[in-house]
Amino acid sequence: MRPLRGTYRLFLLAAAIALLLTLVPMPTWLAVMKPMGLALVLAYFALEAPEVAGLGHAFLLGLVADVLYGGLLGEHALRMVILVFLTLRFRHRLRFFPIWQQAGAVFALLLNDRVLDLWIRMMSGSTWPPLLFWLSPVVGMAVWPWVFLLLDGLRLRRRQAQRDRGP
Amino acid sequence: MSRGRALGPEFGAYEPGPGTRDPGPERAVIWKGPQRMRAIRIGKQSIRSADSRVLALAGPGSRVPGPEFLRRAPKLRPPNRRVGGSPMMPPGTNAQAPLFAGGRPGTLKLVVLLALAIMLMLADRQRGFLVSVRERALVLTAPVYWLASLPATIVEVGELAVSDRQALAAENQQLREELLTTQIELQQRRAEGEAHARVLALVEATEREAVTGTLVRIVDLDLDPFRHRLLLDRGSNAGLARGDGLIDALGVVGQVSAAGPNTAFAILITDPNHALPVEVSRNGVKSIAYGTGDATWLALPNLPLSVDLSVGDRLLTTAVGGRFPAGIPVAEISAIERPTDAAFAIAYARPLSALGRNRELLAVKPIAWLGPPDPTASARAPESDATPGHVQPPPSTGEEP
Repeated sequence: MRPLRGTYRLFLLAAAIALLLTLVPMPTWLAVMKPMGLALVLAYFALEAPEVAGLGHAFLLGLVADVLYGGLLGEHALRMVILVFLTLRFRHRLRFFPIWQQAGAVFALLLNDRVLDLWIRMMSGSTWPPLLFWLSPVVGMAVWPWVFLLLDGLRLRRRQAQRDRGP
Repeated sequence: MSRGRALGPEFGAYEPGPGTRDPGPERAVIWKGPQRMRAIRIGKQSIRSADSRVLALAGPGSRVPGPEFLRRAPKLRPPNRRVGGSPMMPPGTNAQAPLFAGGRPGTLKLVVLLALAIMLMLADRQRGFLVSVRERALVLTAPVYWLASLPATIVEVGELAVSDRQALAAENQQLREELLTTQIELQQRRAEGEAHARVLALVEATEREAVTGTLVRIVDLDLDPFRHRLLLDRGSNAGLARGDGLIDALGVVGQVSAAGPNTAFAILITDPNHALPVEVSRNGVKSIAYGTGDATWLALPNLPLSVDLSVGDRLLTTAVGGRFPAGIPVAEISAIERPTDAAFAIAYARPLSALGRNRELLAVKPIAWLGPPDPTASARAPESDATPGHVQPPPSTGEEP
């Protein structure tokens, strides 16, 4: 299991930073278009390192998000499990997409996530959210290539460093 | 079995198992003799499409995976030994991990996890033991909130440090003036209140509670811009408890929904899960104001069509419900719908408080619930305990009755 540790650590670190960044206060106009950081991190690791980002991890991290954001317990868990399941399902196709096409796929995933979110909200009696509610997946799509390149660079550098150190 | 694993999951080596769906020719052909060239071509193609992972696999020596690369592959992995140094097996991949770990995600696992999540949500809706779980979890999450609010705190402290002395002095002056006018007004009100209390005592009306509470600050965090929740910087150590009301200078803001030792979650009156008994200040018509999920209005459904209500009426809290002291402003009626084809009218009201946009709030304890009048007690009403000594003027010390 040792070789996995580097990637695993990176995964947990990235998830923690994503959770924190979502909490950091911003002006309202910026806050409404904040992309779902945890979803992006989970999607990346489900695509590139599925041995660390399974459904169980998605569930647990979703629960952490629920506790942190004070929403309905289990809501993020449900959304993240579905997101990771879909990513893993289409992983072989998505991995060989050029990055802009991948961003489109990520947009679809995030949009689906938003629809689930809306569904859960409606179940708990909320009214139809404002139109800005749908902006977040668009921003998520725009951010995806950068998140992807950043995480890819970090992950490969870690592996390179590990290889240089020898077995 | 072993041949497929030699390349690691990165190369997409394929191993048919019972019930496995063929993932397509690109990957399946890698180990099939006559079609090997095709696999290589696809390998090159993926290099051309800038897939750095394939290059990383081939190692620094061989830039392009050639036929030897594939032929040698099975030999390069000694059974049950790590091959960290070999160019075939970068240390980042794990030989022991299942080949398509997560590649074909377990549907059973999905169903179990989804069921678990839905069960959690339903349990949380019922407001049972999960609230106490959440309150315990607040102990763990408090450092995270502290960390996340650190940038805002630094900015605030920095602003304070560099802010102009003169500006501070001016602000101080302005606040002093405001305090003075408010205090004068308060004195007048106190006198009025005492007079009012005497009148009330004469007619043996109910007593009114003074408003006292704990000052709490809102932690500046983005929980969810489309949700109506707040995080407070005080918890049960400061006397906060679930159900405490939160008010600001302008009116009712919300209620504490979960109180940890040093932090607490609050729910705004505009949250769809919130309902608040109110009365119209003009004529005492009572109703319930429901949150709508929209920060700009509350809804008062199920009003009689003939209800005496007009735009601009102010809604106040009542003692019904026991959560808030009576008479605190809540909202102002902004629209009334009297549909001709329905049995009830609906009114919409605009919340008066800043709803968490100002940082300090007052947390008030639930007042003692008086309940409906006891019919046996009303029979001996003349000697009931509503003596003048018990009646407190509104701005009194606020001791518990």
